[in-house]
Order: sequence, then structure tokens, then C-alpha cells
Amino acid sequence: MGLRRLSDNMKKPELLAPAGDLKRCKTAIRYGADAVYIGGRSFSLRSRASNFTMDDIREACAFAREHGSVIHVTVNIIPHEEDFDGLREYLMELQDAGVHAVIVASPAIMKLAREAAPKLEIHCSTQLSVTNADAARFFREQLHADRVVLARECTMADVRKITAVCQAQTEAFIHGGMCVNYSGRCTLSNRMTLRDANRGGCAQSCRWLYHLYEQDQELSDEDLLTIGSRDLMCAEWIWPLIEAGVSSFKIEGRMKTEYYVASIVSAYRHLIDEIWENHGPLSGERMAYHRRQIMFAENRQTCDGFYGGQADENSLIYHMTSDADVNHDFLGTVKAYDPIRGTALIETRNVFSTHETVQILTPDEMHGDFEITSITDTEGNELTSSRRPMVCVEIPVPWQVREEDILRRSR
Amino acid sequence: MKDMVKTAVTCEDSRLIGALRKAGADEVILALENGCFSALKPFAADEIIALVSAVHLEGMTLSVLMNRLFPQDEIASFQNQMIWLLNEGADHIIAADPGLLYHAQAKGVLDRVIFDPETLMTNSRDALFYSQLGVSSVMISQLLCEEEILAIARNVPGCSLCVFGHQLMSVSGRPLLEAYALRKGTDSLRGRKNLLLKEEKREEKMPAYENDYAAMIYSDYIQDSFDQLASFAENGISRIVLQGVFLPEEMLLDAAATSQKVLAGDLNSKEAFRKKYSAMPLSDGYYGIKTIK
Repeated sequence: MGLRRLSDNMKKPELLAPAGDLKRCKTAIRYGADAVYIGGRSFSLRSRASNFTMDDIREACAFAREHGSVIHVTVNIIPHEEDFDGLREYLMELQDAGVHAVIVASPAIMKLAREAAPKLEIHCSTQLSVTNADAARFFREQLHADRVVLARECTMADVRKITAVCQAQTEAFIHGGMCVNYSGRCTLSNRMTLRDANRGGCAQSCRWLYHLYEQDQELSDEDLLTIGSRDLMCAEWIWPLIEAGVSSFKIEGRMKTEYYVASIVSAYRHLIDEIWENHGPLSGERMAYHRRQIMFAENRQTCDGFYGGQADENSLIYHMTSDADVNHDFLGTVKAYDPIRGTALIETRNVFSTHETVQILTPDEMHGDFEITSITDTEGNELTSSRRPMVCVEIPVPWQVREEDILRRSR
Repeated sequence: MKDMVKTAVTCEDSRLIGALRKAGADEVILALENGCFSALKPFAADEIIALVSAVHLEGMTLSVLMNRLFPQDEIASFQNQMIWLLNEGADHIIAADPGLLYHAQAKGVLDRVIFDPETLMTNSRDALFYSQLGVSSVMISQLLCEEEILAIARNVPGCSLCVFGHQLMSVSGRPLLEAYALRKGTDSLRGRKNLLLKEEKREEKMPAYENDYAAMIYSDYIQDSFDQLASFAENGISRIVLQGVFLPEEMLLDAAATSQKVLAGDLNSKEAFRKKYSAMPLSDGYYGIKTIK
């Protein structure tokens, strides 16, 4: 590891988390996100993940303010003519709701946002594929972008240079799913399903199976290709990204579950904080610990993208994705804790039984494993297993827990 | 109507320059080596410069395809090549990277850049932004239905549109094909122009090509716009592009000639073309279908 240390005037980077609905947004903030990016029901990619009404957005902003966090809203469609209908009013409403920034891919929308809602920061979406400093300067100087989200194809050398010379802040992805193609430049979904990938309809056709032919002769036989990318996992690159002066570390995943949001945000929160406190890189042992924590959330193979240089064959997934790589089950959420009896009321999500070893995930600290010694339903009946989702049961927990802490089990 | 529209045609063999002129081309597009996301045969910058006079002698202009998104350590070199090519007589640069636009603006040559960000140019407001910035022409996305294209063309002067050929569907910075070859232990798949991908549940085969810095997938279909050409011209499209990648030279020349005839009002010519190439997957692409969100 390097021996350089952080300079005194460096600002701690923002941890930017995804949320597909208000509950996940609050979870992300509770588990340590400095900012959360969300989508409204219009004008956003991942339209199927965007369940925020304007009331939800207002509530998210208020909750974020209370916890010292901020809300970014994706307005990152590549718009067609009709997509501008109602956009001016929408941007003004976002500003009034207390949204901090909009993430935008269209120059026309950037101009409109600057004009109609000047308090909103404008962040250039990764859909614009900024891979060099002059591209970043272009958006800063022509469209007054406050921040540029870097293309996921950037190497660490690219990140360093762009961040050093561009007047706008930079934001870099540190975790989650990645487009295998340059973002915004892929129309596989459009062709296969007529769903417009650049307007929120991506069917993830890159993760389907393909035959490969050389003219008429099939090369793939029974071993079909997927052309999907592994997920990004950047634990090892957090220190270099901090050192480069990147302003925001982004986690992908607005379609992901509440459990994923809690565990991945928590894991990176602890990693970033420890590196920051350490004023430099961590020991191999500490990094191994943090990597394990991160992987508790992940259910796909991972790679470090382009940060180490050109992505190679290890950046791709060669099989249909499934939950085969899931290593933890989300069992339920704590709804209340009785300190006298030492029991937690759990709203269930998956099946669990007595004598199983489980963990509690909390925003503040990592506890050890414990064994479930009993399960009691709300009528006082003793159970050997809890089999129904979204019901409440009580279990003993050997330490105090809080509402919204998460019960999980290793596979 | 023919005089209202400039016809640009890709060229992979310099011996075809005369034939392209005879087929009605006004502009020849040459792909720059290591500078573009395209399976077209590339030319080194000095090879392109050596062809400038041949193209000009035929009364055509020469454009250089540089539509790659350049990493930080290569952008300066390609910015310099862009200026060199323009200084040495290339008429236009076709660019997708805002880093090239930034440099062209600084050097006062933005009016010789055609901006072609492929999928991103989908509405008249964005097109107008780049047009007013001073680029020579803005290339409209091929993902649009006819009405959407016309709306942009009416509102933004001097737009370009690719009207013929296999369309670029995706570009990856990852070695999609080579990785598969490494995994299977087979010969390298890089640089081969005879590879096709077929999604498991579909019949159509999509040309795929990979070089040292990109893997590209093209449309299974060949764009055919003969039914729309007149309308495009009447509504303000001022430059049409015919893309010859993966196609026989004869077909590209025939398409260029047919385009001229159709624009001159000879509507029978398009049926003759379609009959001659009935075995090829000609399609009107997205013109009649609007994609959904």
C-alpha cells in the first residue's frame, strides 16, 4: 500500500446511495448515506424502480435534512419531443421540495433546469460517457454543470486527471451493476423488446444468452455467451479515489432491495470512515474484513471495472444471473425491542427456525452471530419455525437493537 | 429535391472513390485508424490526407469518422490529429466525444465538425443546442420513428440522418468476443468481420466486431429509407448517410444510386433495388414503430 496521506484541506467524499422508494431511501440514510439518488415517476431511467411521488420526494428531502443528508433526483432520460411536457413544472417542484441536485443527460434539460430551478445543482449523468477532462470541461463551461458523473470506462488515471483539471466536482461509481456497453449507447433492449433503454425501459438484454456464429458455422455450440458485465466492487479503490479528490462515491442499484441498500451502504460507510480516520490506506487484514462485509450484500460476481486499466475477460459474466451467488438471506426487520425481556419484535421476510445462527445488521456497529433460542407469535404461541412473510414474531436478542435493524442469516 | 440533400457514403477501399461519385455521392466518409467506433476498414491519418485530392478532384468532400469516446491518455493525440486532418484538406470530422468538440471550438473549427453521438440525439432541443453552438451538422438518432425525425428536421437546420446500412446498436469497452475466445481456448476473435450474434430465442443474426478498444454489435437488419427519403428532404434533412459496413460494395453503390433516383422522383428505382437484394434483411427500422418507455 502507498504511504501518502490525506492533505488537511481535503473534503471527505459523499457516499451516494440508491433508493427505489421512500422506505429504501430512509434505510440508506439511516445506514450512513450522505446523499441518496431517487427517481420520480417520470423523466427518469429505471422507471420501473421509480416509485417516488412528489409527496414522497418532499418527505425524503425532509427526512434527509433531519439526518444531515441530501436528495438527488434523476432526470436522466434521453428525451424525445414529448418528454418535455410538464418538465419545467416538475423541475420547479423538485426545487421547492428541497431536492439538492438533479442528475441529467440532456443538454436541453440542463438548460431548462438552470433557468426554471436555479437552486438545483446540475450533475451530468454517466449516460454522457465523460471519459476525458475536455469532455468534462465542455459540460462545465457550456452548460454550467456542477458535477460530472464519470463514465464507468474511466481508469484511475483518467479519474485523477479529470478531477484535477475540471472545475466541476466529479462523481465515480464504486459499487453495483454496470452496463456492459457505454451507458446510453446501447440499443439492444430497443431492438429486442421495443423498450427504450434510454428512457427507463432497459430489458437488460445483455444478460440474455447468445449464439455466436462465424458466417453460417456456430462457434458457441452449447456454451452460449452472455455479454453482461460483472458488478463493480471497489473496496480496494476507495483510498485512491479519495486521494484523487473525487467528491462523490456512487453505489448503483435503485432496483435493489431494502436489505441490499442497508448492507451495502453500511459496509462502505464503515470502510470510508475508517480510511478517512486513518488518513491513508488500511492494512490487508482490515481490507479483508471490509471486503467480506461488502460481499454480504452482493449476489453476483464482481470485478473492479476499469479502474485498474482496460477491463479484461474477468469483467464479464458467463452464465445467466441467478441467486446462486447470494451468501445471506434477509430474514426480517426489527419493529421494536423490549429491554426488560431482551426480545425483539421482527417483521418477517423469509423462513427461519429455532437453533439457527443469525446476525443483526445495525447502522452503527457490527455485532456477532447469535442463536435463535425461541420464536413466539403475536398471540403468545411458541413456534419452531416462522414460515410466513410480513408477520410479526418475537425472538430473544442478546443485545439492544433498534427499530429498522435487520435480521439476516449466512448461507 | 436531389440538390437539397447532400449524400455521404462510407468508403473502405480508395479504388471506389470514382465509383462512389458516379453513384451520386457528394461526400466520402473514411474511418480513422484507432479513432472510431466502427467496423469500417480504417485508414491511417496520412493515408487519409493522401486521398484528399483524389476525393476533391471527383468534386466530393471528405469527412473523417472519429466517433470514439477517447480516454484521457489518448484525447490530446486525437485532438491534434483532428486539427492536422482539417489543416491538410479533410472537409469535416464526424465526432461523438465532447472532448473533440471542446478542442474544435477552442481552435475555431467547430463549423467543420459533424456531431454524431449515435443514440443521444433524440429531440429538437438537444439538436438545436449543438447546432447553435456552431457545429456543421447534427446527426439524428436512428432510434426514432419517422414523425420524431421530421420534428427535429423541421426545427433544426442542416441535420444529418443515416438512411442506409447496418446500424450500430451497441459499443462496449469490454472484450466481449475475445473474452469468450479466451474462455473457450479458441483462436482470437479480434478483428474478424464475419462474426454474428443470435439471441437464443430469435432468428435474426447481428454482425459483431471487436478491435483493441471496443466491441460493437450492429443491427441484424439493413436500414432501408427509400420510402421516407423525399419526406426527409422536404422537411429539412440536408445530409443523408449511407453506411456500407458488412455489405457488398455493389450493394452500397446501388443504394447510393437508388437514393439519387428516388430523390429525383424516380419511385420505381427503389422497387428494383429491393428486388435485386430481396435476400438481404432490408427493413424500415424504427420509422413505423415508436419505442416504449
